[in-house]
Amino acid sequence: MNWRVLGASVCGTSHQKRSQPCQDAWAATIRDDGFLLVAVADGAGSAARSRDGATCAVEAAIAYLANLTFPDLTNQQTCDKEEPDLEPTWEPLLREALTTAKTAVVEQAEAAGLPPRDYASTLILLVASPAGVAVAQIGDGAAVMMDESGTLMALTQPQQGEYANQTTFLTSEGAIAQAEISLQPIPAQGIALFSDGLQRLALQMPEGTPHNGFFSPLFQFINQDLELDGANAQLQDFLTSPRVSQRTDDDLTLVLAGAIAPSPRDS
Amino acid sequence: MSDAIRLEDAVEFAENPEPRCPCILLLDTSGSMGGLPIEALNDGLETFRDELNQDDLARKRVEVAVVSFDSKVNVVLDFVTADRFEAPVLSAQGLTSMGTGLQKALDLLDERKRQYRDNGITYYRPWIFTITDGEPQGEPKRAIEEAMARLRDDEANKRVACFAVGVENANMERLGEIFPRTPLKLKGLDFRELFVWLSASMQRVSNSQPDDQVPLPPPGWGEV
Repeated sequence: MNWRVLGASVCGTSHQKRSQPCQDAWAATIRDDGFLLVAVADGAGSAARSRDGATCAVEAAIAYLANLTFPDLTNQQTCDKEEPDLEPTWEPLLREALTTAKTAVVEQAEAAGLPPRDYASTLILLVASPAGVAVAQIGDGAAVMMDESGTLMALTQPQQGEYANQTTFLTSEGAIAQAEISLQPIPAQGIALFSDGLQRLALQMPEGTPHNGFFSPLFQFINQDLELDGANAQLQDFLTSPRVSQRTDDDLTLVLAGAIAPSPRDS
Repeated sequence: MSDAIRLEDAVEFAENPEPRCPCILLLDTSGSMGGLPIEALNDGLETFRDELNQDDLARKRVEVAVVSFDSKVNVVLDFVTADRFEAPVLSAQGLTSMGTGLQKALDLLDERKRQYRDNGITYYRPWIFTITDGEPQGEPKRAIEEAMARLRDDEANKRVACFAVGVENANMERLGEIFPRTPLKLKGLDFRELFVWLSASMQRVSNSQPDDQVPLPPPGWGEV
């Protein structure tokens, strides 16, 4: 089992205007046992060091998840139970990963003598195995998957306050308890994580339904035999194209993953 | 390998309404504003329209309404997006029904937010921008008292951000009692500079990322 992973973060035009750096960060790793790990963080525009906070959060979360022993993500393993036994095992594990990321960010802030809110960012974490997908999310942005039949599903929804520019951050009080945890015990053919800059292009709001015209070509793209450098450049070009920048001026991050090998239930 | 997909051509976007950034201009049109002040204010409104329309996102996202108060309160212009905003030409007469005006503005905002929610439109924290050269006058006392109570409650719960600007002989002390935010005094009749600032502020809000605090440009037109 293997995954093909592409990702890009690009600076929004409004950030360019104000000479702000891109405050999004992402990271992805494929473990030796075939688990895919992805993290996306969107630094708060108002927080002075949010780019550092976002980078620290994704790196700390991935480092933590890289060395864990994961419970199985498939339903079929749960004996004697009609209901899947995923939640009791995965939920604390994912919240612990969020806590680890938060601790790393708070420590970085303390080392710099700054308040943690200066390092505020959102955080989306995803773990995928051939058997299924687990996601944890604080703040906006979302994770979407396509199953083997080509059906799209939103794994998470953007967390928003009353106002369009309000969300929850990793460093916010109660953020980890309020994190959305989502588990899908079915194999993913395609996975997408994105920051809120793409939300209004990718999801049909307010329901948060994945927009087929947006995701189908992307998943078709990631499921081809790709030369990764060229494909990453194309993803970057897409995110900086006028078609996109006319619709959103925020920082944009999009990470795509496609499953390469047949899932083990075929074997 | 399948035919190469060009992402730029292939990907289609969901059609979602732009998030809206509502702003009410609550303007004193009492008799004392007659002459030069009202002319300068009218010119300022045109500046506001021109400035807002220079920003591609602000023109689609900022919604402006104009409410005037003198002996009566008039909704001169109900909410329109900046690209459809026609600067009204105001004239001055009568007394200063500021409390009634504030309540009307808060009512309009409540109604607008309800419309946004019903239509699945996201929005930013609304602004009321009050400009006056006096103090409440010619309306029942409870009109301003009720307005003050609502304003305090709405500000405390972040339902609105309400700014006040005093012009010429405005009773700044009284305005300081009425508005939870410290009112600013306009330098001379520099409405142009004020509306350039307001437009820049609305652009920042309407382009803002997930923040709870939007850093606003410092006002060069006012003093505390």
